[in-house]
Amino acid sequence: MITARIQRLLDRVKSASERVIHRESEQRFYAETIGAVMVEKTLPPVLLYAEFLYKFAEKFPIEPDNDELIVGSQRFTRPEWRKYLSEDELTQIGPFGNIGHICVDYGRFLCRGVQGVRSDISAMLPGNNKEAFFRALEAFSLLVRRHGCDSIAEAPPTTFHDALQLVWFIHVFLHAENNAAAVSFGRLDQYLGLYLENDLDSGVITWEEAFELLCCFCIKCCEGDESQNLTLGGTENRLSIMLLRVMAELKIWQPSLSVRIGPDTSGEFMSAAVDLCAVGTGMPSFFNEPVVTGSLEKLGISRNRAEDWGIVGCYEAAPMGNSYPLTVAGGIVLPEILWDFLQNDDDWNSFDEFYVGFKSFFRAKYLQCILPEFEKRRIGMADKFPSPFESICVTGCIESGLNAEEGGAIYNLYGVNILGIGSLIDSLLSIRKLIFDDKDITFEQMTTQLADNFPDKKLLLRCRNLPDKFGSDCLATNKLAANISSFIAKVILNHPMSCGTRPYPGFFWFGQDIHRHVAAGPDGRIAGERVSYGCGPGEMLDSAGVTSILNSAACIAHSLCACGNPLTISLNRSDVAGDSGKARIRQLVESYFQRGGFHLHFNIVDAEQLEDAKQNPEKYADLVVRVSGYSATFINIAESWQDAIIERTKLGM
Amino acid sequence: MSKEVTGTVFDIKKFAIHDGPGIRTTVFMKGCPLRCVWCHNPESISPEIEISLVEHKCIGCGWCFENCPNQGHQMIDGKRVFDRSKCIRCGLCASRCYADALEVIGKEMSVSEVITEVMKDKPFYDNSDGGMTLSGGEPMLQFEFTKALLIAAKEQGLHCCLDTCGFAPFERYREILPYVDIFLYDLKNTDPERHKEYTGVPLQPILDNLRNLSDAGAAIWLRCPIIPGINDREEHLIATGMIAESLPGIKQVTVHPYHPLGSSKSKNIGKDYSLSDKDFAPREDVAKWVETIASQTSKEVKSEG
Repeated sequence: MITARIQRLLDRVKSASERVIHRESEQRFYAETIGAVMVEKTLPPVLLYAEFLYKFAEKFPIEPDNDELIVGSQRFTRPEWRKYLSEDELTQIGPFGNIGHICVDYGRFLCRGVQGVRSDISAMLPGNNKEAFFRALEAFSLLVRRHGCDSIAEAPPTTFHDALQLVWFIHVFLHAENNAAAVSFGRLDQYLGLYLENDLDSGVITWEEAFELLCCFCIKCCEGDESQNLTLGGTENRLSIMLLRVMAELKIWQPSLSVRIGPDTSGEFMSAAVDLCAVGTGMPSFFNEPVVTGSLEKLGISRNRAEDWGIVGCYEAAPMGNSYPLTVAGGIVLPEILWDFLQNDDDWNSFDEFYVGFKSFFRAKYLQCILPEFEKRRIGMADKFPSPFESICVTGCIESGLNAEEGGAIYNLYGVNILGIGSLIDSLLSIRKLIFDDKDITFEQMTTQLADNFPDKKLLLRCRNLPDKFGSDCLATNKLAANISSFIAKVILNHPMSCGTRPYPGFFWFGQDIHRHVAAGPDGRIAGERVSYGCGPGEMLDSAGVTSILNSAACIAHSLCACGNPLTISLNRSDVAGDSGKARIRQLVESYFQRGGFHLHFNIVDAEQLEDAKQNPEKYADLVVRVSGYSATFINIAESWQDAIIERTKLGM
Repeated sequence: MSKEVTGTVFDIKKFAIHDGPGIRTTVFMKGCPLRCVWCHNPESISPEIEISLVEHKCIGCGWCFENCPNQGHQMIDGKRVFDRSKCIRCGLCASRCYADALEVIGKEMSVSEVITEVMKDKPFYDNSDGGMTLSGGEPMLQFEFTKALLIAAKEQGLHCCLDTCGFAPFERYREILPYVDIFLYDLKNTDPERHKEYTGVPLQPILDNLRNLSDAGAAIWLRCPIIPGINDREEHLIATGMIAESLPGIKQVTVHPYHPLGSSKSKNIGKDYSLSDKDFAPREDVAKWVETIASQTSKEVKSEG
């Protein structure tokens, strides 16, 4: 069902050697605008940011394109914009850009329209926030008018097309403000679904026309940021199914689709999701609806509100539209904490003693060192990065009079991303076996070996090849996994910040498995070797099967980890071919979710193909794979990431 | 007490998707009465426990040289030598080989141990109409063990497949018939002389058992390994299709194209491999084999792995 127009837009976005947002003209404009505004230090930050938005909306270049049904280009630039400013200017400006990773209340904005939102703001108590919110809203309205979309510059939209366009403008503007990443759409099928139903039923739009519109929208997303998450399902409607079908046809890498799978999921919806999965572009991410809802309730969020969750960024759940979740704000590297613990000179009589000691150490370290740092960072945001437009769009801010960074949202969370649970478990197993069970080595010898990066090659091999590693579905290992992950999650859950923000855990830290240089570990990793990612096993697992990995990962404390407990499984294309192959995907998802897993997604590839793509990239311009929580064109990914994907594909991860 | 019966197992493979319907776990038993020249599981042939040595993994730590009770591992003229005639298969060398160069192939397991392992994936079986498959080697060679496993599996409500070459007394097949949902039945060659030459055993008992199973009401999936130059002859493919058509018990036919992955495994257990010159069959040839068989029967014919 791809029209000629869509084919043109597709070809353009796939062949673009650089995205609009990366063009020099874009970078320069962005830098100059910031430079022009941010030097006025007499204004409070929130007003400065509003001024920036106004100048931006006023001046940025618009390229008219009669072929497009959805207009407006995403403006989110890379840090390269900084090179257009002098050292002085940079120092004067200071840091610019918050961490994004939010999903605002698009639905409320659609209902109110610009004029309704303006009227809501006017009810605020006077102050800098009110002034800044007004200014930011005017800037937004100007943006819309400059694109020629007068029907939605003031009044709320009445058609599906207008509503979709307004969503896109909100999205664009959020990216412009603060240069944010992973601004997510949330439950688009819920807040746009009724517009589509009404237009279809009353004949304002045909199915084909709506399909084409959505194609335009999705292709638009490919122009910009890598991780625009869009959550479907829960309550299904025609928009839910249509979007799944659009993405299956287009085979592009954005938006990043997530689906809610639960007891009420219809066969049709699941089938459409599986069809998309079998296409092999790494979507959708499957989320276990009751488990995710339950994990948000652990934060004191009421059932009703917790049920209305969507995914932000890669895998992080948050209540939709009314939360400021800061999902990637905090990080912990478990193997580093174990390393610190091992530097202590203590004597342990048994593994149980050692294990209890480690848990106490973790708790103390988190509460005394790590959490205070997180809190400092959280409070610092209020001063440095207040975002007036984002705050307008997050329910709770206008009502409370506070911007989002000050804590205006109804729910204030702080993501604690935890790296290396698999490697930690394997390390504990090594310690138990070699030091306590077999008594082949002392603690001192172990720490010396680690510090010197395993000069004893036989010991290194022994650690690497130890049987029953996490992922092999060994009962004792699974019990350890359940115990340690539950403990860590609870330490984080049970200690809110004094400012009221709730840290919340997720066992993954995007990119840190590749970038972070971690010292050697008892699991047999040498220094700098990748640690385990998400809830998956370490890479030294000796070819466990898919089901063993799923059974093992199911033991991680998913019900406590709303900030995301991802698991990637690689399957060969031949394994998911045909109806039996698609059925297989569904069976794996259902079985894993029955066991309580939080999330599952698939890389449909084969390792040989990926190796070939490295050698002969020109043959693989269309190959899209899964990278953590989003999909990307394989040949454009950095080499260290490519290697990780290849290695993990071979292991079925 | 069926739980006390033991057998020699050399692998338990999870997420087996080519060994019967759904997602399954396949239990591989050691020992086979056939000697197929193309066998890609050569470590399955001998019923005895064996030691496998993967030479390139050896790091030369010397532990096996020093500790083998029978001096089976030696360094001669700077080269590592494994004298298998001295090997008493105690497994000591493998237990301390951290490089994973030496491994014991084959393990004595009780029925309850096997079933416990198989049951780990029960949700996957339930959601996919999968279950347990017994294979090998030839499971019928460890008949008591196979029978006890099937009975125990049925007690757990598991769907059971039996992968067999058909070379066993029919009374035994009749005994386990109530517990087997699908027989995955190998048919290696329909020409009696070629069959004897390439598998080491006569064809007729295998054909008789196939017919008898079908008459007894068993459900059968016919599995046909096709090796270029050995049994890819048109006569064999036609005859296979005709057999499939004539026996109501046969529900489908799968063609298994040859793959050369058995060669390194043979080397690791100190055996020769006679088909070292063969490679993966081209896709067009495989399609033609399927087409030829399908021309003789209305039942489903497809190729796999």
